[in-house]
Amino acid sequence: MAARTLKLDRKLYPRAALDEAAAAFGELAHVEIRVEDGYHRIRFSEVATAAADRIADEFANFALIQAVERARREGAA
Amino acid sequence: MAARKNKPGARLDVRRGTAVVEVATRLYPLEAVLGAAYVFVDRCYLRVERAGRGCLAVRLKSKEGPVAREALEALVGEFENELLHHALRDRLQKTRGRLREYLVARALLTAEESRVLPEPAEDRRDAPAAAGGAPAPDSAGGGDDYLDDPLGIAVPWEERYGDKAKGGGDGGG
Repeated sequence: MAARTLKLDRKLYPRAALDEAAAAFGELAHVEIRVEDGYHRIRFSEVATAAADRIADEFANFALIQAVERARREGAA
Repeated sequence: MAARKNKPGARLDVRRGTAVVEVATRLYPLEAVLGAAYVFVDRCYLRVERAGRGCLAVRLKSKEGPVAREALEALVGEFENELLHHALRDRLQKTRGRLREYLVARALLTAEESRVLPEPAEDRRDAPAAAGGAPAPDSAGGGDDYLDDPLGIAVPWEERYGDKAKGGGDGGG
């Protein structure tokens, strides 16, 4: 069981987007999000072996999708 | 012999299959950068980062792993095109947004004006009024042809055939 970390800018990736991503990835790893300076520090622990190499990248993509779709919904409202 | 150079504003790492594109937010707003990145999520792993004041860095990593330099350059080119497309779209959206507001306001004003215009007397027929019908609340006046019933379709069956049916029934029994 490997552990991985990922840093994403707080101004570019809203917390709500990360929470949605964390919920989606809950079955693959334990996801912990902390705020450090201007960043979200995301720590993946108990990562499923098959997902270990890609989990941070996939998580970042998922968070990006959520951030964009959220911004579009808010813009349309 | 043409020297092969990285694209301006882009750093390529062929071995890892990654490219980092630096974008000036003065030219491409954040919405355009995120919108362009969104288009590539099926082909790349993307990460958007701050790269100094007024500058963003978009890291594109091919999902296929290491790729040829040409493929990576093509990817960067496509991303830059997408950036331009989104920036232009955002700008037009802002312009069109104002135009749309104007058109809606104008349409509402026109509808309001037509509502207060006097109705042409000869276009109105007595049938709806005689049947006790009132113009539908959403009719804007003048466009109430749908209330006309020259064939008597809206007349209830009992009202039209009630007596005959009764008479026929009595006679036949």
